[in-house]
Amino acid sequence: MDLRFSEEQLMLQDVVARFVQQKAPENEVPRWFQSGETHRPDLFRQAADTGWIGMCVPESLGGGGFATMDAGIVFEQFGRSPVPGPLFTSAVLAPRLLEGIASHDQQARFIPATCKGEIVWAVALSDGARRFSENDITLRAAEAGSGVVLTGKKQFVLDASAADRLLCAARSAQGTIFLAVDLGVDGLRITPHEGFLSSLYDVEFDNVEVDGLDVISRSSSCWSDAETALEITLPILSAYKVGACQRVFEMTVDYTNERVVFGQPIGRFQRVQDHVVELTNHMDAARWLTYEALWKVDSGRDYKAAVHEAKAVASESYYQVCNYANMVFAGPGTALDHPLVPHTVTSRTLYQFLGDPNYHRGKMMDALFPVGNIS
Amino acid sequence: MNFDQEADTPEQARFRQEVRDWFEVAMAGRGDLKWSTQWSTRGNEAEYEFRRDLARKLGEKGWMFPTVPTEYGGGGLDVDHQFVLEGEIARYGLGLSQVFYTLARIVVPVVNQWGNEEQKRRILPPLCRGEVICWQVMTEPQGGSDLATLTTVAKRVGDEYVINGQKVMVGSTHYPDYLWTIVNTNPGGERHENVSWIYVNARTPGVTIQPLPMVMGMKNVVFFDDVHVPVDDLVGGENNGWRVSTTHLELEHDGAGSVSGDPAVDRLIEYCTDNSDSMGRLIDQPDVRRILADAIIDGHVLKMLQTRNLWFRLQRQPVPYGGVQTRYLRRMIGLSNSQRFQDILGYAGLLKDLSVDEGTDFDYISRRGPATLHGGGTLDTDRLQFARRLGLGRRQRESAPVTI
Repeated sequence: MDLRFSEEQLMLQDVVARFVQQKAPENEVPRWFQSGETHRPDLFRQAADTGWIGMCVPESLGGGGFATMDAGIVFEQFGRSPVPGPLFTSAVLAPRLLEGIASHDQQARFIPATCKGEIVWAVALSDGARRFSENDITLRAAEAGSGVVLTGKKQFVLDASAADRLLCAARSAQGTIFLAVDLGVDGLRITPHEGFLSSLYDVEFDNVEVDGLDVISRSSSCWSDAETALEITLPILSAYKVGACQRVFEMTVDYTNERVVFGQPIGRFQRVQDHVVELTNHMDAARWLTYEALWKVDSGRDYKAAVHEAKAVASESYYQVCNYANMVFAGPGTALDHPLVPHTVTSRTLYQFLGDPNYHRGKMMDALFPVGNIS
Repeated sequence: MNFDQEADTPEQARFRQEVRDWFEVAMAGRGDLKWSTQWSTRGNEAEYEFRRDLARKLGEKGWMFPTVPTEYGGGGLDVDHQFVLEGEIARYGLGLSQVFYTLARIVVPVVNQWGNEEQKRRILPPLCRGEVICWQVMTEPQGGSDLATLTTVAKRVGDEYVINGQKVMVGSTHYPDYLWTIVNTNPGGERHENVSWIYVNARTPGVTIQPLPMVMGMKNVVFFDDVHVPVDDLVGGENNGWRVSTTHLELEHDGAGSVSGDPAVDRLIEYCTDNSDSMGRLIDQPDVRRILADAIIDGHVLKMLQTRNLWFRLQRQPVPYGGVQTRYLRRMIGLSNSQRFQDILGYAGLLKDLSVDEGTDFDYISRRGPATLHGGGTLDTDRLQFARRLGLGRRQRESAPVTI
């Protein structure tokens, strides 16, 4: 057993941490959230040049061939500001889904270009507001030659306005299909959702023709194949939340020492201490379940239950960590230019992304104890 | 990172095989102990005798306290060996420091750090070898969480201390050989600068032990009436007890860490798999699965954090707030679980079942929730200590003492 990062991993962590401090300083990030400009093309470009887009992709497909744990280290640092934008969808999620369900030709066409940062991806699977499920896909695909015509909409699509392509699921007469839609085509309308959320969009399709070459999968098992493929990305997303929790923890502890009321630092008050204690417990739960899940993926263990568990706990923890931080910061933590605000909004936005904690607790239980399985 | 507890060095692999073979012999025919992580308070004599005997056998090999030097009764081994031993005994649901009810797990590291050479050679070997039962005797009726208000006084008279006072809510069902107790050695002195630790032979005249039945099992009251103790049994220096307490309390507050999980949830899963009602198997029912998921996740989190505590402690880099954190969580999760078990099992969740070990008995799990929130300090003192270790409202963060 060894519960420390290696020297190389600590160096990687340090490099990413400096990148984040320089390119996404947390006193600037709140402005990006206010203006909706959460995709930073310059930052994205540099992340790609450094090799962090597609770092988990096999070298044969133009990626870095890094371990999942190393991607976790990178995304943990991204979570600190938090760095917004389509980094996770482009660097991790879309390439992984393509690897899982696209043809070899399509992989060769899309993945190396993605690794170079030439294709920015948004990913839209389920369309329901509350349920992550194949049954809640509403976008309709009508067969037209070798391609399809799309009508309807994908809802709550993260970073759709920043993306070149949308990897999405649609419902056809035969069942669920997957497509890589060029977002520059006619008949497509992208509108932001307004609310206590960030960078989520409706993508409306008005008879949009999609070429057969961009139909990624018509397999009858494509939804479950996609679900299986994305499992190893879950602890990387969780690591982003761990980094976010860590940064919120640090700023909260600092504040308990700096902020003086009733003649003493608020950290002397036991009620305030209690908030930080609970915050720390949530952070550590997310951290250690995430690290263990990353390790299980890399070491060839059965990781199914662990990755869903990590996603459930990290989502819940980020949400709660922000709640407790708000109790400590009180008024100042709710001013729109305060570094806590992007975290609070992101904790809510990502809570639902790829399924909420209840969904992932259920998936964990299904992995551990299949219903009706008399063994 | 590597979460594999058995990712051994060549020496660890060799040692693991030796230990595993040894346990197979020692535990032969006692698979029922699989469920026993804790000290039974039920007075099950057969189990108790088995555990005492196991402790003596482990002690003979120096495996109860592997890193303590052999001249003090330990194994003279290093932390890599200790990690192997912790993992191997956990396979039987036991903990290295909890083979039977004795507080050697705390007293040995404290005496090893604070005792003089003569004391280490005299006091440590019987403790390390599992030959004696030692209770920690701290709480006083008026004190509770405020340990420093000690009114049990040890007055120096020649080469002896004469102790008078009363301690409460200590010990277990079997009479102790020694009492490790904290006393006031300077009643007029400054708070914290007037206390000392002393190792008292429990059979000294003037010691009276009276059972005190409580919700979570048997505790005791200890009376000291003119108890004469040699000055050589005062450990760590007269009026220096508050500093000695830092080592003691770190271990009392779960700072040791562990790789043994709580088997209670495992038994609940087994029960839900084996039992059905009109809606089918319990484990297939959506409401049961939701509650079980929470219990499983909490248990996993706790085990991970306890493992983290042990591993970093063995690296001599203890997590500053790790002990109080897991102690707080362990108790809060125990409290949540007492309700979760009842939510799933209904009345059956309150029933006593003498055919299983206490640690997995639903009756005990439902008692343990509310009734073990306080031993060695309340949830509130845990959080106070936690805050100090996080450095809240302070210029300096309090560190954890090295206890190995």
